[in-house]
Order: sequence, then structure tokens, then C-alpha cells
Amino acid sequence: MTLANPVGVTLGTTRTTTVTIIDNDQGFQFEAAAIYVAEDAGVALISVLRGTDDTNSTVTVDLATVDNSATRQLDYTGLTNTLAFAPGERRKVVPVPILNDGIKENLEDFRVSLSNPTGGAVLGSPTAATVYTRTMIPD
Amino acid sequence: MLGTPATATVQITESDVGVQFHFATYDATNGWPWSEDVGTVQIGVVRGDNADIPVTVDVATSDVTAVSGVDYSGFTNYPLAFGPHERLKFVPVGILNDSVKEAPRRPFA
Repeated sequence: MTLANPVGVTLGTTRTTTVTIIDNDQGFQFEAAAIYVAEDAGVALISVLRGTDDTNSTVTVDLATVDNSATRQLDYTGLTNTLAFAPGERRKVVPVPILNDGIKENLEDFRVSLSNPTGGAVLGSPTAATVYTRTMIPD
Repeated sequence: MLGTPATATVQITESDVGVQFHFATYDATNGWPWSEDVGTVQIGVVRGDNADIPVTVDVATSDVTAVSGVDYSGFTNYPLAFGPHERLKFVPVGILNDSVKEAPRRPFA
């Protein structure tokens, strides 16, 4: 900001000032980048945060699962969802069914990712998370 | 008869600092952590003369990386009037909130 055109007075030395605004919007993100779940837990709960302060509108983001060492329809039920956040909604929890094959396996994992935000929303970080499934059968 | 020296020079030191901003910067590092949902901020302008007459000064904003009309409500000519004996006035500036992820720190001047 600048001072100019003084009438009846002179200008001092601090004729300009700078004001800095801090952003308060983080965009869509997973609440955790790593999620651990027992193979017999039934579902893995994936928490997605809206990450914006202004929740007066409806926004959407796509969530998809991708195999890694865990295989869809064998170790978990794969899905591709469009998540709609209603006005005022800051968090959604997406259940991903975990399949129990009764076979003792090493720690297995699949990925979930966020993409395609709509309604003026943006992606934050992290937009990728890893779900680890543990077999609970004792040795 | 005149002795010496017969002349002397008198220097008058200006003691009035005029009108100026109270602070040269408003950011988180000097105690003003203004988030975009802060609403309206108040920028102080101080008057350093003897303040015995009314005076005016114009205040203007300019974009740096923050954009007027998007990030804040700027103005080109905000007339600020000091009455007699008034030494501090505040200029209100509206900060605009949105839901868009932007640069973490956006200044205007």
C-alpha cells in the first residue's frame, strides 16, 4: 500500500507497506498415506478430506483402487467411485471390502488414488495412499 | 565596532516525521499471520507532526502476487483525513476467502 498526495503535512519515510495473505485451502487429500488392515477385518476404511475452508458448495473427486501385491477381487474388492461432498461436508470415509482367502500370505498392499476434482476444488497432498492387508493366521 | 565572528549560522532540524505507515510489512514473521479468512485487516497510518491542523493523505493498494478483486478488495484512492490531534488512523482492507488452493503466501502492497 502506498501513501500519496499529502495535504497540510509531509510524508514520512515508511510510505509503503506490504501485506501478506496466507492461503487456507489444501485441496482433496487422504487423511493417511498408509492404512493397515487385518485380512479378516471385512473392510478397509479410507478417509478422504475435503481440505478447503469454504464448504458452501458441492464438490466431487474420483477415488480408484489399483493393484499392487494385493489383487482385486481376490484380496479386496476394487472400486472406482466419484465422491460427492455436500455443502458443509469435510470428510468422507470410503469402505473398501477386504477379502479373506484364509491363505497365509505376506503383507500385501494395494493403492488408492484421488483424481479429477470438480466444482472448483483442487487436489492437495497426499492423493495416493497404500492399504496394507495382514493375514492374521498364526504360524 | 564589530568583533568576530559577526555572523552565525543557525540550523533548524526538521522534527516532524509527517504521515507514514505504522509498519512496513504485515506478514506472519513479524506477528501478523493473516489467513485469507481473516475478514478485514486494519492498516495503521500514523501522523508524526504536531497535529494541530486537519490534514489528508491518499492511500492506494497495488498487486504483488495477490490480485485485487480475487484475493483482496483493493482501491486506488482511499482518502484518509486526520482531524486535529488525531495521530493514528486505520485503513480497512477486505481480504477475500475462497476454496481454491493457491500459493501459500500472497502479498500485496
